[in-house]
Amino acid sequence: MSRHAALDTFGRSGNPLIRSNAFDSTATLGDEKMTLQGAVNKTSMLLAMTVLTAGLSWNIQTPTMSLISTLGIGAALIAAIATFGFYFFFVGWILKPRPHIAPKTAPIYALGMGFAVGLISRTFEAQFPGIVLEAVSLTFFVAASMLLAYKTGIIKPDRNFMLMLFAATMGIVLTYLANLIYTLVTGNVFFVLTDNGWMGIGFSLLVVAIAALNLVLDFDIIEQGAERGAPKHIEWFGAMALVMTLIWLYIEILRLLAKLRSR
Amino acid sequence: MLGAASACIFFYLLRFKASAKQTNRNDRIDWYGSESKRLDPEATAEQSADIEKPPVETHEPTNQATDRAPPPQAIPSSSPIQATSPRINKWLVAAVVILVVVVLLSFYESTNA
Repeated sequence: MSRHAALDTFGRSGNPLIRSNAFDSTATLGDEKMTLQGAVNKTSMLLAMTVLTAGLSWNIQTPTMSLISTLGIGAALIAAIATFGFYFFFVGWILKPRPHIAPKTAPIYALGMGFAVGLISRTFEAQFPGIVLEAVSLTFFVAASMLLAYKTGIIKPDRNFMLMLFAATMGIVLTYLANLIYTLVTGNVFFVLTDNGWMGIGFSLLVVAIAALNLVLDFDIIEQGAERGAPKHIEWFGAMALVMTLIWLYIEILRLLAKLRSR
Repeated sequence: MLGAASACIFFYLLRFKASAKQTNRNDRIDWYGSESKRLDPEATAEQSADIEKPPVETHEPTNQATDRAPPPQAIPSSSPIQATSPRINKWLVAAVVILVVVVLLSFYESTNA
């Protein structure tokens, strides 16, 4: 048995966004191949869609819009699960990833998540005026810094990097899930998630750092896809993964800034 | 301003290929599994050369040669991938860093004003 069996296993079947067997098909004769420019264009389009619906849910506050927002968020979650699959601990893949449907699901995800982003942003802006602009600026600043670090080779993602990041990301997911259950049962939330002391800020900083490092894997997926001539639909898949991480990073930065401001 | 500048830098950098230091590594994550071996330019070039090599004749050619099936052709989809995006270089990095510093300074000045 290989000494790195565990590494191989986790490296190939871990985070839906970073699994190795996601791109099990490559461009065949006559198919269009993925390009970097194509992935950039798709990322821009998806972000524009997110901003559009975020603007709608921010500005229009009617019962109809609330219903549309709820449906949109539900559709976004379904689209994400349908594309990236659903992995459960000790069980394996309950729903396998299907990157080829990304051209259809990515716009649904972007439009749907826009509603959620708009609602969350409006709530934070009401409490702390100007926080949204700061969070958007910081999100792109962090993303640009990570991209520069990746492109120049300062950060070199390898299997160990992926494994550690996967473990950290799963740890955060489990913390949020446990908090959700705890809230439903007791009506309270975990201290560390809302605390504006050093512990709470430290936790938020850690989550922001992990979200930012996840961007590196998204960049690597896109870069390697373009380099090796992956099929055209991987452009949508890579763009969707990148937008998903950017939205996560934005929400975490928003939480961090809110904690800092409430001190 | 910082947000707009960062977004512009982000999308501008995204269209550049990563440096050779990043791409020419043996420990890269293999997102494509076994397909990467097929798409490896060096391995593919060797494979293509083998396929395109004409069959060695050990006897005098006869008129049966016309009945023979044509030699297999190299598969175009497995040819080395041509780079379509320019690779990032140190001048571009320096320009971006200077731009970021200028934007940060202006941001700092505007918030302190």
